[in-house]
Amino acid sequence: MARLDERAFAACYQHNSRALWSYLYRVTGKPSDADDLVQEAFCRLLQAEVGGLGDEELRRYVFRIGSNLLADRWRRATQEASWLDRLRGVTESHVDPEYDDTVSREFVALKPRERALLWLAYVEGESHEEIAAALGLSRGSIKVLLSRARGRLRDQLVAKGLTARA
Amino acid sequence: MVEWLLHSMSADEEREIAAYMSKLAAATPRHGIRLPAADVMWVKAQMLERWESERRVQAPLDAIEPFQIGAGLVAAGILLFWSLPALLRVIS
Repeated sequence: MARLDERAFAACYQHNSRALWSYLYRVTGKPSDADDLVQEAFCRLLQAEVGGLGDEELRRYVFRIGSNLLADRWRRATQEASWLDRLRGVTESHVDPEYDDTVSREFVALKPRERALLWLAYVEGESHEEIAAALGLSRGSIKVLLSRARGRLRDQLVAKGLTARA
Repeated sequence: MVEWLLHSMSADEEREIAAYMSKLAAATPRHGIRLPAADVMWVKAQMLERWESERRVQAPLDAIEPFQIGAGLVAAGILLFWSLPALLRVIS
């Protein structure tokens, strides 16, 4: 398989860059992080032998790169977290105060990995297998993790009065 | 498994989550999305790749640099030791 040529790259970028940015922004909560990660993801895409893939496969591929980059950041952040931070349980990534929109306050209360899981499942419509591959998790754990994330989001929605208690 | 059962949802709840996620996906961030144009990204990626390949070629040379410096210092030391008697004769 060959690499993408300039025209194919431009088409892929036009179709997917905004969607990828939205995903990365909603997960990291920081526009500057989303900017960096999108650019890094597309630079990596250009070095990959993906010339024969269709539009949908390319989209999944670029989301997988973006998710891998996110997972790398989480791993680095965990490694860099000091002992005291771990004891205090401060492992959440910083979320930009500009993280906006009334609609997303409940979402930002979730852990970054839960946000990624929900986004890939509901917005991108990816299967458990694809989510597992994208986030570097085992396929068997996705159902439980996704269920937990849904539960936590629902708790947030109920707490904010945005939905009725079951 | 127990946790999964505790959090298992009805179809209505599932729909609510799906509706919330659709609304979130449709919402544009307040500051907008500012991404570089495709051709800028293309040039940037090409340059990064070129730098990376240059770095790969340069890496062995960078790795032996300390040995080069060390060898230079040793050679200078030997030269000094070898020519020291002659130097002392000239000075005296």
